[in-house]
Amino acid sequence: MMTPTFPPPGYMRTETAVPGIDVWMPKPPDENHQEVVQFHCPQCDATTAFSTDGGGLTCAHCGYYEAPQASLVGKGAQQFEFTVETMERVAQGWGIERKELACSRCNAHITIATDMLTHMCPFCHSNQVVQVKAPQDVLRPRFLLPFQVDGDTLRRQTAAWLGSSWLLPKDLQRLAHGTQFTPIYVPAWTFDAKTSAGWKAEVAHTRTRTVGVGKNRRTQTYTEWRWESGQATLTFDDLLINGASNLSPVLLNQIRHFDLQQLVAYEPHYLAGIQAQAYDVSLDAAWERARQNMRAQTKEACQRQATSRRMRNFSMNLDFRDESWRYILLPLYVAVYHYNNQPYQLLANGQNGQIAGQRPVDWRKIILAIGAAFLPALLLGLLATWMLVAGNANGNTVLFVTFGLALIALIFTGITVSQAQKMDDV
Amino acid sequence: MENWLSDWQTDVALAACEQCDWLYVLPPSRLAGRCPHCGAAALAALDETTNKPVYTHPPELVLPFQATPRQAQQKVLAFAKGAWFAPADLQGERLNGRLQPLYLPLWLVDADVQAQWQAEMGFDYQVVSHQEEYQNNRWHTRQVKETRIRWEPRVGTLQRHYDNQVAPALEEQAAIEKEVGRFDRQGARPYQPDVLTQAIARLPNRPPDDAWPDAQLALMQAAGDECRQAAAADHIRQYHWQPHFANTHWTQLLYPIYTTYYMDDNGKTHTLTIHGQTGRLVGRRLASMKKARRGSLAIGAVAAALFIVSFILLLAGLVYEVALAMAGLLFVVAVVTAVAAFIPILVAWYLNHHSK
Repeated sequence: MMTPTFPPPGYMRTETAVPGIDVWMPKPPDENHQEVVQFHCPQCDATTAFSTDGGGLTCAHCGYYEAPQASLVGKGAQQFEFTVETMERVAQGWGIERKELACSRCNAHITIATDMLTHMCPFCHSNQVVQVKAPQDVLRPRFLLPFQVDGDTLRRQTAAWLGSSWLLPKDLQRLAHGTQFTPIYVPAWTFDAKTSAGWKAEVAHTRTRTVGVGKNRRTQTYTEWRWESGQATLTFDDLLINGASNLSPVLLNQIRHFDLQQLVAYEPHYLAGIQAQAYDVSLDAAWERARQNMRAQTKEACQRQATSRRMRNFSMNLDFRDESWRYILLPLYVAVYHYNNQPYQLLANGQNGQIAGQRPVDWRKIILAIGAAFLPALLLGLLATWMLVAGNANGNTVLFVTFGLALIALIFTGITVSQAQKMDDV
Repeated sequence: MENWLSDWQTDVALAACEQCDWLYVLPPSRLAGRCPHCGAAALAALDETTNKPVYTHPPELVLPFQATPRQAQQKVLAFAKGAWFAPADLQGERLNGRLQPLYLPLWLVDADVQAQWQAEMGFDYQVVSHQEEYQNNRWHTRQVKETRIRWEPRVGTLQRHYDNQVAPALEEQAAIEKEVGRFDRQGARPYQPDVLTQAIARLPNRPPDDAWPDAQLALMQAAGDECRQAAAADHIRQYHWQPHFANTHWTQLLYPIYTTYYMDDNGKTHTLTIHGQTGRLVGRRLASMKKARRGSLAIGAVAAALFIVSFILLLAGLVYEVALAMAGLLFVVAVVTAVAAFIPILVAWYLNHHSK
């Protein structure tokens, strides 16, 4: 039915290609784009910042609190298709390398890199959120996961984490209390897709047969290769790919369990007082990485269908369908602490407090422990040698026990060194 | 009393078919002929004043025949030739003897339209997808592009003039168009009385008032397509409008066809129609079940005779052993012939159920 009022509210006139016909279209959402959003306390004019307690803005000076206007969108957050237009724009990048800003509070002129979405004025310490205009609208952050863990909670968890292994120095725990955790929003891409694959391979089956006659009659094992084929369909939902190249993928992988049900629509106040980075891993590079991941999983699913894991001449065809993506910001805490004049980096999940990072291993402790593990074997070895030289019949038994103890010590050494290396690994 | 036939500016009469109710304007010499639509025995001459039709005006435009009578006859001959178990009446010469040129009416409507409209416009866009192949321990990636449609609402106003929008002048218009096909109206010429010296014209049974809803639909479709162009869209759906029409003008156009007919075994008439521009012939080519049955019976009789002979040989085999082999062979031939006896009936049945 026609609308009673014409044009309907929310419509705007657009171009027409036929004289005598006028066309109205829905107005695009009113973005009211502000290049820089600044956060001041309406009571005392001090700087306000995002608070993990209530999710609103707080003034550290007078205690003013502004309630949040969160709009939880969860996993239903809008997803975008891989349109030709988007992919062409992605290839062009951000376009400019630095942006000049004028602080509206103290009028200082500063330049910042375009990969930073937030900024603190070095002259008046006001929090500013840079509303990046991307070459294409979908390429600016539209959703984020707000911080839910505060710095104090994180410091307690860090203290427990630093004291959780005997391989670490004893005095490490006390460093946790002085560690400064910096909240930062890091960019990430999420990808959805369905993969449909058809595969075929020659699969090995072990068979036995009896050969020979009389005394030479024996059972022989042989491999029978049989062609098998099948089809597999997998659905990928929100496969997360890191959008920042400067973060250690090893550490990020350890704290990757983000609950995307908590996604909210992007609002500048979430970024007030918090550093935020724009992506530098482009959409096509991230999608390439996601596809590698998806096709590896699909290949694995196909190979699991075979009646044996031994196969040859494996081939498969894979089609991607219903591909979509999202650009989101993830909450992370970054901390650096110094131990013996060496810096150690920590990353923490700002949503659930998961911690990952380098821990300085006390190698003296490890060497002593390994030495202690080998000591009984060493002593028993000497005893066994003496007994054998003396012609004692029990010497052989003691020698066997010595080898057993040495083996246990070797296993202990392997496990301990591997754990220690993992702690150092980033 | 109104003498409306004089408006046709030539010596014509009014006639009706009592079987199919089609109403014709035709030269008086053709009154004795059969109905070009249903082949009924004779047309009944009507008095123009007492039997005044719903619309009596002569046409303004006529589409001339582009397919000549000779071309139409050749189509008919090709249709009748090689028909399996053709009914006795389905013969090329007979069909050509009944071939008649006929004009059918159509409305062309012109109007000024003012309207408010709303619709969903579809815009094509392309997405990039991937297909991958794993062979010899390597992945080979192929990028493919897929076209999708993005639907967006649009509203608007329209102030346009439309010419020659088609509206039906006959109840059977849709069925005729579906059967015969569309006509190219580019070659339409003003009506000249001499077009009715050789052909018959059917009178409209839907006057403009009755055809107006269909004309509005045609205007709406034309307007919808222009709105789509105005919005630079590739597709349109859910088009609604609130139109106001002015300066509407109706033009009657005659378009040409040839008709002929044949009768099946039961005396039922089957009409064949030939497009007057393209020469395309449409109609059902039926097989005669009578002929097919006769063929089946003849083959069945041969099979029965073979059975009897094989039985006689079987008896003879009691005395002469060699006759037993011949009896067996003949029995097999008799069985095959008996099965073949069903073929004519099956072929005729198949043809009648699949003829278009």
